[in-house]
Amino acid sequence: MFNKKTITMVLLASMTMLAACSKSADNTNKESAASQPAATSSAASGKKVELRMSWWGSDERHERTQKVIELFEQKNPGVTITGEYSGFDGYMDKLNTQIAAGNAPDLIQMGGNIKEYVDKKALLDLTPYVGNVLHVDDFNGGLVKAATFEDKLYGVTLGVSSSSLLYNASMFEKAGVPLPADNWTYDDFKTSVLQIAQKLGKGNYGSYDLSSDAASLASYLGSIGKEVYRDGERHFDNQDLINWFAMWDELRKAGAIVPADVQVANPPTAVDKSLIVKGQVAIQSASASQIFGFQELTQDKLGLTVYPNGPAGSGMVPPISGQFITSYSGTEHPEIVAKFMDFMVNDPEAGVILGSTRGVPPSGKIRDALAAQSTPVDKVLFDFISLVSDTAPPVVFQQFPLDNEYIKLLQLTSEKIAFGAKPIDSSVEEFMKEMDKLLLKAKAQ
Amino acid sequence: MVINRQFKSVLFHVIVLGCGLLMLYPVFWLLSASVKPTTEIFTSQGLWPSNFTLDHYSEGWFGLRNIQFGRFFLNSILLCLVAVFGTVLSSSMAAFSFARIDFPLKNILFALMLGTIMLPGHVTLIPQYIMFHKLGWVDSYLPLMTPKFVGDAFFVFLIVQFIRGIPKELDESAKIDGCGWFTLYFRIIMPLSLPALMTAAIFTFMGTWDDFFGQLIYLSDIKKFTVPLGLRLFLDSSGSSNWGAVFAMSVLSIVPSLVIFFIGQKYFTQGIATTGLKG
Repeated sequence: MFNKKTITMVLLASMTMLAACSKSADNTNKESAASQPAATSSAASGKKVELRMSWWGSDERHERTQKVIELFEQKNPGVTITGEYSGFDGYMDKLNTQIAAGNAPDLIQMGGNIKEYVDKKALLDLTPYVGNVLHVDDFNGGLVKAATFEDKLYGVTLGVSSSSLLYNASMFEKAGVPLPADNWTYDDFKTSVLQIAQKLGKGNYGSYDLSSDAASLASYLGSIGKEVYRDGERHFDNQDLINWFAMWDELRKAGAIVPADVQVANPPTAVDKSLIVKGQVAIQSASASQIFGFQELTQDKLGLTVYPNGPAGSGMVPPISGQFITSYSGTEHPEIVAKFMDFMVNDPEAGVILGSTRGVPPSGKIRDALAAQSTPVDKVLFDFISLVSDTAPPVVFQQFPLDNEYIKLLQLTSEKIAFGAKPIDSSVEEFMKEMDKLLLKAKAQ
Repeated sequence: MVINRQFKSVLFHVIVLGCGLLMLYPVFWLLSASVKPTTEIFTSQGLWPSNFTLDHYSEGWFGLRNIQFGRFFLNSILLCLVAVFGTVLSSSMAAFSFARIDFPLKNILFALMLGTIMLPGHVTLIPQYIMFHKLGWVDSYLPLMTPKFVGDAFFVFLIVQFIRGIPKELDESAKIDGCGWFTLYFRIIMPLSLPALMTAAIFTFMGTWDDFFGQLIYLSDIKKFTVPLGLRLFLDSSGSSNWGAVFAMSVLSIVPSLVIFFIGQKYFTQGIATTGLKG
């Protein structure tokens, strides 16, 4: 039945079908572009404005965001905003499909991959509205910079967070070990971790193995006066990395940190699998705002602290934007969109409703308003963000351009060492080779 | 001898039962997690909850703003019923004509249809979305329902194979008695291919009930959300998730699939075609 002729026919037919489809895609884009000017003029004449806004999150965030939308609608009659919300699974896929079809929502919540969408020309340039409709002068300069590309602003920070050490305070107490001080050193860290593991006995560990954690390594390098990356180059050498892995290896051999097999089975990045929640590991690395998710799952008291200091002081990276609100470039009502963005981050009433569901609010005014009525976990988070803002050295942190590949490489190297598959020095050599390849690749882009 | 046989039978049942229980463990875990307080879900080891609570069920059902979870169930059920009806009707008609009627280009058309099985869904996703967007159908059930009425290649193939196994003599005797094509399809072939139709119906039901991505892409208004989308509302992998509510609603969401499967199960095993031959 399947002779050659039939197969050729099938292939030909499917190709023609595909070609037809891609043509129709072009048409849609042109059409939606053509229909914009007309729609804008109808909005200017004071007609009803209908906007769509998409975000991901948990049900608490959905509820609070909807309350803010209702408040905005009350204050701006004629404007309705329809929320399109879901969990994070599939959020980006749906968005990509909508953008490809020219049907994306007017307001879009974005994560760290904002640049990708700027490059696709999918996001609206907000610069014309800054200062008159949209006010960001109250924000830390770095937060505005994070969404600025080629001098144009594309997004507004909704919340800041910072990498942190998340610790199980109840375990410290049980082991009779003092809680980490704000200026603790790597020696203090080692002592505490060893003591906790010894006093609490088998199956309990002082810390996760953080040798694979990019944020931990970044702050370690900072604390010895080095850096992961700046202006196209790496700023550390083999010996720094050997010292880093040797420190963790020593702790691993002393039974103070989680062994490799247990760590792979219970990765600290998954809230529901982390052993910190189960009270078996006292310290892990996490984004500070994740503390809500962790605390919800345990009755132990959790806390946040900075990475240990080294000879060059603190290597903490300043707080960064976690999420942004951006707008689709095809929106028909850019001015109202900008107004809503401003409302989300600067209106005290809206700020109180939103709380820290998207990280700590970027505006100092809103933080003050919130501090008055915060829960204990809120307070831990706010205090930590203020602490980091004070202790982080005044350098502008530069992210490694091929961040995902770098993170994977570090993870792989760390696992090789942790499982004892390769000695430290040859693993580090290999790591450096691969890293230099990544740097070349980044330059070529 | 008898004792030996009994012993073997007991041993067999114990092993089968043991394996069955082992495979059911995730389901038991889900059930137990849905009645544990949130702080205990991931911390307590045992299946038996030390503090029994039904809060997650009421939280999941009533906890969402402006909407109850029951709405998602109604939407899902409506979508599934239409999908099952559409798929079974269109696929069986197509299958009947491929299996019984001679028409020009039949083999090429059949090969083309089979070719669509091999086309990955991701390839057609965006063109399809654009098409439905141009028709103004996005954020309605139409993009999810309409395609079901033009047949599903896999089920057409399945039913064709089944119909080919029904003896042609039955058709001939029906024709002699004065049946036209439609009567032949509706009165003779359809009743005889009931097992294949039920298989198609059950698979379509489960496929539609569990489909996340298609529904995610096309449905935006929360009032039109289906169960898979509703469940994802509680989950946020980047932050905090309401695990208790997810588990409680997951327990409820497997009930319809189970019911449908148990109802349909008996048709799977009924050999109607062979009975027809004997009669």
